[in-house]
Amino acid sequence: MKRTRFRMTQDAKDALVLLSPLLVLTGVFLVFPVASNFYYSLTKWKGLGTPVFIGLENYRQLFQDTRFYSSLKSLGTLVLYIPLGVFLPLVIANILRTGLHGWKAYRALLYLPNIIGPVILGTIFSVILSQVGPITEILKSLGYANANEFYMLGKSTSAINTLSFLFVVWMRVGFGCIYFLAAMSTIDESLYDAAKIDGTNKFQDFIHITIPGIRFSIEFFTVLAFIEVFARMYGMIFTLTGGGPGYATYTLEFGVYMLSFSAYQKGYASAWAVILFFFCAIIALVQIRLIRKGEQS
Amino acid sequence: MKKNATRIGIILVLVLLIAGAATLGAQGQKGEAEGPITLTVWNFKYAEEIGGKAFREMDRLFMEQNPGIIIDHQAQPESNYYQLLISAFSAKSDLDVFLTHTDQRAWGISESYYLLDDQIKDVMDTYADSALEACSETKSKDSGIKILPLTAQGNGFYYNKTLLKQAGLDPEVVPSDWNTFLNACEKLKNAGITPIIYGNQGSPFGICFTYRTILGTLLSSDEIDGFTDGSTTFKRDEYVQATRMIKELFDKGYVNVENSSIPYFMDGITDFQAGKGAFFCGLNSDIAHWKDFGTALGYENVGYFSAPVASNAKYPLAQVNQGAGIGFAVADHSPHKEAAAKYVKFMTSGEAGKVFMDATGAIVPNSTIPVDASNPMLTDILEKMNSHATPDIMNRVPGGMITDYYNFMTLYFISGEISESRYIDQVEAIYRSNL
Amino acid sequence: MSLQKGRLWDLILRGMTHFMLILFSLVIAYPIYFSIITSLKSSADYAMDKVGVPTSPTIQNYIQVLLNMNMLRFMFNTVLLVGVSMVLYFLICTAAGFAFGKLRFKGRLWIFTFVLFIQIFPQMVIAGQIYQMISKMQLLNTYVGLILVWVAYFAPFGTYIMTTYYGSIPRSLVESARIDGAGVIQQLIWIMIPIAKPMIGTLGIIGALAMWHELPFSMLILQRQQMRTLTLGIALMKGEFGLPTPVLTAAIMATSAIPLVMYIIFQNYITMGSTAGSIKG
Repeated sequence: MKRTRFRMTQDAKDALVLLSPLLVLTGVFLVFPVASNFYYSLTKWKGLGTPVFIGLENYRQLFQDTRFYSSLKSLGTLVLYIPLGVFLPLVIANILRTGLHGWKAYRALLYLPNIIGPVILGTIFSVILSQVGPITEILKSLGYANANEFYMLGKSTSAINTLSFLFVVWMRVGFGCIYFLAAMSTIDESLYDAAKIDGTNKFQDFIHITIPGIRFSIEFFTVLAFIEVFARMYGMIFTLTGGGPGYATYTLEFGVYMLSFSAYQKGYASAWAVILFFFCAIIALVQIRLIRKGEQS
Repeated sequence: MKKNATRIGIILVLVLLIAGAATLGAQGQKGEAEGPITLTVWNFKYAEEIGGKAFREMDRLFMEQNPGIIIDHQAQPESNYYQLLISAFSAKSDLDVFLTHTDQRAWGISESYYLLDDQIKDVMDTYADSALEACSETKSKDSGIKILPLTAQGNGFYYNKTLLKQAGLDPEVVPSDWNTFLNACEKLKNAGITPIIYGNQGSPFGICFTYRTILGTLLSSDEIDGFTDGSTTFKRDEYVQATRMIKELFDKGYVNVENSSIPYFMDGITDFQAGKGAFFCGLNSDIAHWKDFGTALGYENVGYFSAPVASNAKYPLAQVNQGAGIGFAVADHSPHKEAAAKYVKFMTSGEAGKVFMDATGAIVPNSTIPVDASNPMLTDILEKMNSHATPDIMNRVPGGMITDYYNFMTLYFISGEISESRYIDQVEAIYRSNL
Repeated sequence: MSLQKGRLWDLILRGMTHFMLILFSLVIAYPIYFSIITSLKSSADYAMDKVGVPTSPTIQNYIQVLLNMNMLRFMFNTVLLVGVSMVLYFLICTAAGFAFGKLRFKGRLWIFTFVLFIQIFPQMVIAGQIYQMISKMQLLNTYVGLILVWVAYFAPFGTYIMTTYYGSIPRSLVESARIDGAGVIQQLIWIMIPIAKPMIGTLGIIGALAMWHELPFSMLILQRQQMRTLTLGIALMKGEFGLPTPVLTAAIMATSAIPLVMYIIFQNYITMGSTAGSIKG
């Protein structure tokens, strides 16, 4: 018993040394900025000069703001794409697990979006998907007379769906495949061998062995998708749609940016950031539960 | 115990390392010596090919005449320029002089702009009155000056006379009257010529610029000024009328997908230069202007008018003129305000202004620059800018509404998803929420 | 019969996968192809034909981008910043991942989740305040300032990756090292870092790409042209009125060149890295 306790403290001391650089850095550079948003959300402040305390006024304004509800709506659409964004790389990885011709070429291409980055991709796609872009040309050459009306970024519904597909599904497939493949290779092969003896097919193997086997990875990948949608989309929205048409592709994160830097309403933007904070907190809670579950198993 | 001590030691070393790096960095920054003053200048046009060259030449002239001052000119990105300015103001970081627009983006943070009134007494009368008014916090030409004007800016319609002739129109009849304009568009369309090159991809500048010119003819200067504080609204009949006029261009097919779905900058400009369409709502300064089109198409083949004028327009001659488009300002926290003011005065003087004008074709609102009378087109535009100036609505509305406003223009004119009344209501709501 | 049916299904599934992967690959290959052909057109050519291959290719756009804009200096800055940050990032992530993944101590999960939580926030929400702090610490316009912020913002995710990795390593390694009398730093250097070798690729690509594409921090902290990074290069070049599309695409290709070349060289190593630790027979 005494030995165990000694070991525990030894571990704790070691951990203190190993963790201190990370904790010092995040503590200094992240904790204060995140926390200060709570205060600024109660003030009228343009980012310059002294903030004036106005209580909950910003929140009252927020709950009457069309942009806020449009943001929630776009986030809703984006979230609806997450299952596809998780399922697709999962299926592909499962097929690749047993080998597929030309996999190397696919892998090289599928990971490319991550190399090029969302800002540049958004810029290129805004040119390509414009009304005179190649998409229109191709449709025209296929004999589709009203090809010009097929303006994906110009209509509210198609704009948010295009953005969702590009950001949530297409951009994440490459990373997802590699991530799931790595996870799948940790599954004990003997499980599949045993299943073969039972005469199960590949689909059953996928449902009964693969998915439970990498359950934690799937869940974590899903959480990552949520984080990207809620907090890593600004660059692509800014370059692809600018939040439009109308408010069709506005999100909370994009709103925070627009309000604080373009409209000089840093105080009000902080109220948006606080709402965003609570969404992030929910994501983090799910994350914590996942990790705890992972620990127990 | 000993092990414990080494561990604590290691933590200390790590913390010290960070702190040490911090001080090292600080020293690097504070290595300023006595002697010549270095002015840090921020400029969102400095990385442009032509503009940058002109600024470098202007700096060279200034330093030649002022050996005690060194100019450290820094390019900054336009897309986040005001965010960077706010950060520099609030941290009082190295920044003495900066290029700025003269719209609400500047006036929203102008408490950090140094008041230049006392420094510019000697050169006041060299600037055009309209330019000084645009650069004044109080919109007066005599006081409240916080920016010195580098360019005058306005919008107007350029047309390709060759194409008009091809469509069977008399190129010497100026098609500025609304019905004449529509008639010309119709004939051009029937002749298989693109009537208007618009450029609405990304930001709908084509639509926005047309609004500016038409509203200039429908509203008085004071009414346009009223967009600053909410006393003029987007629900006015004049705004509705302008909306309908632009919509008519879309409905009749004078603005079509091919000419509206390219970016205004630079594709729209190059298309008009290449003679791919007959009309173009251009600018008067910097770019997309008389010089761009005159050199590309031949000055004798390009015509200009201030705005398409509706029959009920109260101000048919009005020429939208921002007074000043961009200008230089001094940061209020600068420790070298005298030197900075001297530099700003020089950069907007006749001598430097001439360099900038020759390089970019911009109209510099400084009376000491001799106007090139040999160019009738420039003379004509200058005459309109000076005699019939009316303020630009986009220079008056709150800066925060611009992106949202553009997105709803797209939704109404291009996507066609909302009704006119919804559009007007929405624009008004955006306007109110940013006042 | 059922076997044949199974094989048929397999064939269909594989066919569908190929189809889908080809479609996805086209969606990524096309933008790059489009950028390349457009970057080789003159503005006048592009106005005439926006889709086809250039009739008279020109490298004028690239010359303009590289010479006018100090692009090489930006490249140097970015490579230097990302390089130094990555060393620090790798050390911090390895150390913290080792602690979270292998050591048992009170509050471990809480600290771990807190670190993960704090990094969720969008850069835009905190960029302003980070700028204020950096300027108070006199780190404005220093490489050190940006390196510290980058590592602080990106290390938590790297730590997560390393934590899961070390979680799969038997604990006996730590025990035996302790019996040998190795202190924690020795354990880290002689055991944990060598073990982490297969993860260098994964960690490297995730961290380096995040830093390479990062914008708000580098824009706010390094405000001098001589210190600017590549990502900002395009924004700078756009100036007040933007760039003609051909020049813009040339700038895009020029800024993407280094990551693309690195990726082509290291791609095998990268994916091997993420799977090698766990592939068994």
